[in-house]
Amino acid sequence: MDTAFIAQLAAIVGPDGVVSNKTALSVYDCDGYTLEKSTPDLVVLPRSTGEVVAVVKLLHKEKIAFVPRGAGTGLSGGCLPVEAPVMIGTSRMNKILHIDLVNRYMVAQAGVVNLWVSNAVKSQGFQYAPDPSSQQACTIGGNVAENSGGPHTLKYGVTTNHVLGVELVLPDGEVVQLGGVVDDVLGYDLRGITIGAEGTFGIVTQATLRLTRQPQAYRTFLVVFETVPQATQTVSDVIAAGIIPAALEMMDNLMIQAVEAAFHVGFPTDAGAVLIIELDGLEAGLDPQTKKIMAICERNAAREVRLAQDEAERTALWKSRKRAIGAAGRLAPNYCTQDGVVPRTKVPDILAAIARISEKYQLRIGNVFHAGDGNIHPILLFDERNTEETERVLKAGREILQACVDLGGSLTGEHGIGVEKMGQMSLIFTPEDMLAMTQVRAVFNPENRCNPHKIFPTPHGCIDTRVPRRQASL
Amino acid sequence: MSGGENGARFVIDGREPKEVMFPESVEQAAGMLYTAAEHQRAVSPVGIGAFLHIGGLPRRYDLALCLQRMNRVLDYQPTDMTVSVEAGIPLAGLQQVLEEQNQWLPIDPPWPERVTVGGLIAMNLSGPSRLSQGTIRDFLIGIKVIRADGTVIKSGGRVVKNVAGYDLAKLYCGSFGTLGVIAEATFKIRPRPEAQTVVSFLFPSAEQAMAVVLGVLGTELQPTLLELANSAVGGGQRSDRSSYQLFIGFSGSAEEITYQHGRLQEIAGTSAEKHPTLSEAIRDFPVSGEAALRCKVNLLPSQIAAFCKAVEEEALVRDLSVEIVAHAGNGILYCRLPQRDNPPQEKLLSFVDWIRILAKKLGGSVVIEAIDPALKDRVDVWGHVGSSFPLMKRLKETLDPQGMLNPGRFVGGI
Repeated sequence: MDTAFIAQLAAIVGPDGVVSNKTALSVYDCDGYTLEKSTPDLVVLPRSTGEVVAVVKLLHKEKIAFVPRGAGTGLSGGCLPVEAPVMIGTSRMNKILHIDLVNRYMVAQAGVVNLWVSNAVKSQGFQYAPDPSSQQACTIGGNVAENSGGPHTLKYGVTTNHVLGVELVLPDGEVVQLGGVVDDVLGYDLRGITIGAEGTFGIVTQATLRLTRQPQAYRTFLVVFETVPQATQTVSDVIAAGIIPAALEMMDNLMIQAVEAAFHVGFPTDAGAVLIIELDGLEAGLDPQTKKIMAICERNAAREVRLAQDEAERTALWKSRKRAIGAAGRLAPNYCTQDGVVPRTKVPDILAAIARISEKYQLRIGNVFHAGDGNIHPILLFDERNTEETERVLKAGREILQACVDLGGSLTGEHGIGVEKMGQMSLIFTPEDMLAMTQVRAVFNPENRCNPHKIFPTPHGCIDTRVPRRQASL
Repeated sequence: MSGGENGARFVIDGREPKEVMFPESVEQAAGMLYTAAEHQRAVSPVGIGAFLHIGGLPRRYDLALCLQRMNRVLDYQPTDMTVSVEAGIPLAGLQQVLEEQNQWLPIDPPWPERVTVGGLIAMNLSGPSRLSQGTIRDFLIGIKVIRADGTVIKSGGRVVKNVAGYDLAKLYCGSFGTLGVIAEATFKIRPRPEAQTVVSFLFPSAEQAMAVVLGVLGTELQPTLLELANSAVGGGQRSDRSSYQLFIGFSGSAEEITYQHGRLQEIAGTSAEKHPTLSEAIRDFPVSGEAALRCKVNLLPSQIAAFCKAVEEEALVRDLSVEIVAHAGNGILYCRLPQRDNPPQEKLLSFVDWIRILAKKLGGSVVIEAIDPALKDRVDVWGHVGSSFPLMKRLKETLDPQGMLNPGRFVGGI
């Protein structure tokens, strides 16, 4: 990048808002999906919508492609720069702009961290429901891009169910307000299509978030099973009983061991599987539901049911669950997480398939996932220095996704397609489906200069000689 | 397959379609659209035809594509809590199937017997339960749509959590049949609550009623619905002393309901009247009864009281009676000027202007859902969209380049 251009950007965002030093740039070479890496030429860190507009207008004039980035916690390479030299980071757009508890909404800049939203209204009894496991770091802008979920989406829904409006800077620098504060906004639901578009429509600069009341009470259980089938049958039975818990999470033995080694919360390391079941709502309703859950667990030969006795115990349980994937780092130098979804009743089938695939490819695969939603997270352990093993990981990952699709499911429940699963899109979508989607993208991003080469397989464009893409070459 | 004698059933603003077709499968419907596109015929997708009064004047209306024969349940998995249906199934029919397993699609719009699932999605219909359950966009997890040229596309699937590809289903919620013909839909569904009750309170003013609404929303209580109706609803006489009835619904276990009734009594400070359910008169208010004018107003909940007060005062000055029912917790309010008052046209138009200015002042907007079709070329029934309209127009031009789907009937003349 020539210095005159860098100076122009610095004039907009201040000299401390442009990262061009090679060492500093290496931080931005991947997100949570580490199998592919690519360093941007420049990172720009605007502080306001106005600065984003000025930066994007300049890029538009120069016909330079760019990629938006929040905290870089994504798990599908959504903010990996592929033929996009400039990265626009939202980390300095971190202000909560407005809180209205009477009408139960908040306006936050894109770089506000997910957990800050709930923390800001916690003492008044409110919360922001979507709670991805990375919520201590991930940003609202990133959540909007990925339509993030989390353990509690079983009862409360995902990001799209809690975002009323978004402010979007289009790739030509124009600002549009999509959705709004009132419930039914006129015209097409452009907010709805922008949420989950993985940053390919433009840069979300702020969002209007729905706030909900914190539940009056919780019951959080750790249920221990000898075998995985006992645990999965319990999940099916709970749903079939007409109970919708706030969360229904499962961990298998490998993950129990990783979590216990990392956090020492007292998980039984010899158990085949544990479930974390959380009920929430009115205190008056929880004991009868608890009884039903206990009976179901008993029927499925649960070894032990531990009820969190206070808020500290509950928090410890959730902390270990939300950090479980990170704990996998104790088991191997590298790991890769899949995010397939199956109909809830097919969880036993997909776990059996994963076990077969694990054996076939001689890979250790742990499972920690949103069982109530049928959203699996197999964690494939490997050492990236071993290229042959890495290739087996990629093949096994693809086979797991194929198994999900064969069971009537989908490729991704909350992590997004990104660059990771582009090659699998044709497993579930026809060329006509994808044509319609790329046509819709062109409404927002006609020259495809915002986050190019994502989501949709392109026959030639994704193979970049400058950035060797391992997955594309397989 | 065609039925010219059916034209009268699908009249839109006084206009009969030149032809009505009844496809029995997605393939047939796609073929009909393909042929219509070839001959540049304007197509309006229709279901039962009970809601056709909503929307702008059709610019052209050649073919009514009626989906009522595409009414099958394609796949119902009670234990997965998902159901896939053809778009022509009436909502009430679907609910009946789900009820056998003690489940439901938690959307309760007016006239569930007279709205198809496709119509429900296309018009983004909702009802009192939206307070606790949300709207159709929150339950629609997969969709199959026929594009204007007859191409069949889909988005989403049959799993409750899915971010593969763009969420096209959202675009069709409230798209008013202008982006494609909705052929099939998959929903996540919910268990029916163990028990439900509705209680009501009478308040001398909207302000006092709304104080209770906002108070309840600030507590741990989980009302399923909060409906507010002024005393003109149900034929009350015009007077300068209006009153407001507030309906509050609860559901869940007997323990939960008992607890909430007790807490509610404390908050409201007066005693409540109990009802087994919310009356159909309230649920169906947004479409029922002879009306000279019907508007849907979108506001923040905190502005409802001010809006009600101002509208009633103004109506009195103008010698009009105004009936109001609001989804009070959502800030959505329906106003009706009854036909029996027979207000002259100029008076109606002037009132529309006035109500729009008021809503705008309060940060909201007004959609005219029913008015004499003869007046529709003098009033923009949808109102002003804002900064995103150019994108909407481009979207329409992309998905329906010839402008053949429901031309003229949606926002900004789309």
